[in-house]
This record gives sequence, structure tokens and C-alpha cells, in this order.
Amino acid sequence: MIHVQIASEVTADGVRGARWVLLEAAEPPPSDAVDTRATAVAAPAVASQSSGPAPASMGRDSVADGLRLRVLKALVMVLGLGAALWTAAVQIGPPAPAATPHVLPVLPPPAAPAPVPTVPASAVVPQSAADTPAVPASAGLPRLTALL
Amino acid sequence: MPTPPTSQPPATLPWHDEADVLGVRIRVHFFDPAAADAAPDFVGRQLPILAGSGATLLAPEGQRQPYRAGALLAQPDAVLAHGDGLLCLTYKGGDGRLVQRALWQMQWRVDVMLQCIASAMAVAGQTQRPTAALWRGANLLAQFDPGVAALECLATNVSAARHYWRALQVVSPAQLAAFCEPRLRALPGLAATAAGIGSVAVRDDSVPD
Repeated sequence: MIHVQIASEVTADGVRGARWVLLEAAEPPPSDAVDTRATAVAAPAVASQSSGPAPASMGRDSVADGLRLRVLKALVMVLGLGAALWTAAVQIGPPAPAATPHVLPVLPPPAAPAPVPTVPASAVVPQSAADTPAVPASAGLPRLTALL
Repeated sequence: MPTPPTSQPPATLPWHDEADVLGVRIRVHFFDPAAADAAPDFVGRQLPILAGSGATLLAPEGQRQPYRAGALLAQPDAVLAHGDGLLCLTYKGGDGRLVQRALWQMQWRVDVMLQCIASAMAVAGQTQRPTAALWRGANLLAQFDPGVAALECLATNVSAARHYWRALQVVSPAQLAAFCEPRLRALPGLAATAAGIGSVAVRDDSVPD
């Protein structure tokens, strides 16, 4: 810290009434000690009509800061996108596999119809003449319906 | 019995008016520009109130030496040795307008005042001598007596101002003043004095308006 004394009063013989204040010490400078651009800015527009001093051009530190900021932004975006995809996968489910070309399932060939068992005449249960109607002579074909 | 030595009080200067603005006591002295410009020496021309005093320039007239304290770098218009201390004077860059005695507070520029104080801080920090901040206009000489709030605001915001302005290593008084002015205005109790309220008039009618 740097001690600074600002005189509060000027007299005919000198100054008096110093007020103390501490200034931060400067950071260790790089190879070039004085920033000439800042010196040019210090050239006064002390009482000028301009609205304010123009900022000094960006130095190496500012460029490095800008790159670092861009990297951080990209990293945050990637992490956010990844989190969004993971959340969607958990809640909705993973996306369906890629659809194969539409192919109709191959149906098995129709099975050969099973032979209808012929019921011999002797196996027919005798029934009363009133129940069973007269069977015509052409009743050699198997009966497909059953008498309930 | 020996008589105790009597210490003479320091001769006060004939200030015409004073006021408090943003925690800074301002003392002003009005003078005739033509008479001041006719003075043969630098002190008589730029510091009419100190004409005939022992104040001397530390550098040839017109040469602006850099003064650095920490990250604050200033190039005041003139630095004079006066007694045990220094005078940091700003007089260039003005618009040349005459300031009316009754309206000087209304026309006062706070940024100019803070720049002068910041320049004095840089000079005092490098030389380690008490330094007074002064500003010379077309017909007015002002001396600034910053209060604790104003000094602390300037001193503690040097790094912040440097980062704000993206300065490589140092910040100028103009940059520091522009950064600190809104902060000073926001401090409670100081905003009311920004418009010159609270003036303590010490009028001397011998100097015409």
C-alpha cells in the first residue's frame, strides 16, 4: 500500500492539514513498464467538452480473458445440451432404432386341410324315427353338423 | 522567566467563496484574467493568489512530468514546490469561459474536480509529500479539500477503474474520475451537495464579477 497525503489547505507559506489515504500498490508489470497508451489517455481532456475519456485498447490480458470466456461459454453450452438429452432419454426413452425397409411378414403357407374323418354308418348312433328325419339316399356325404 | 515562543499563525489566503460538493470542500478565488496574464512569472499568471510567494515549478513550464502511484498514472500540467508540500495544478484544456461569481457552483464540473484530486494523489504517492490539488480556470482559481469519503472512494477504486476501462497496467485521473463520480453521487449525504447546496459564502466584494 502507498501512503498518500492530500493537503487540505494552502497558505501563503506552504500547505497544511494533510489527509492520509492508502493507495493499492501496482501489480508487477510485464517487460514493458509503462503503458504508453494509458499515458496518451492521461493527456488531458481535463476540462474538455468530451463526454468522457475513451477506454484504452485491449491488451494481452484482455485478449486472453476473451478467449477464456469463449471456451467457458462453449463448455457450458455442451454440458447443458448433454443434460437436456439425458433428461429426455430418461423421461421419454431412447429413440427407436432406425426403421428397416417395410417388408411384409412372410406368412407360412396355408396348411393342407386336415382330412375330414368319415364316420362309418355303423358308428352312427341309432335314433328314433321321430327325431331323425328321413335320410335321403344321397346322404353318403359326411354330415358336417352335429345333432345337439 | 523566558517568554514562550509565539508561533505565528500561517497567513491565510484571500479566498472569495467556498462550498461543499460531493464531499469536497472547494475554495475559489476570482481574479482579473487580463491582470493575471500580464504577470511576469508563472506563479503570478497561473496562481494569482500566491503571487509573490516562494512557490517554484519543479519542471520547466509546459513540460508535463508523469507521476505514478500504484496503478494511477498522472501527468499534471504543473507541479510546484510550496513550503514543505507540493501544489498540483491543472490549467490546460479549459474552454476559456468566464465563471460568474454568483453562478460558479451551478457551472461547476465535478469530473474536473475529481481529476485534479486524482492527479494530486499520484503526485503525493510518488513524491511522498503532502500535495494540494488546484484548478485554474479563465478567471477562477480553485483549491480542493477532499473529505474522507471522496478520498477513500478514489483510492479504493483504482483497480476497479483499471478493469472497467480494460487498461493494461495503469489508469489515468480522467478514467478514475469518470468511474468514481457516480459512486460518489450514490453515497448517502453527498448527493445533496452535488448541486452546491450547503455553501459557506466568504464573499470579498473587492473583485468585480
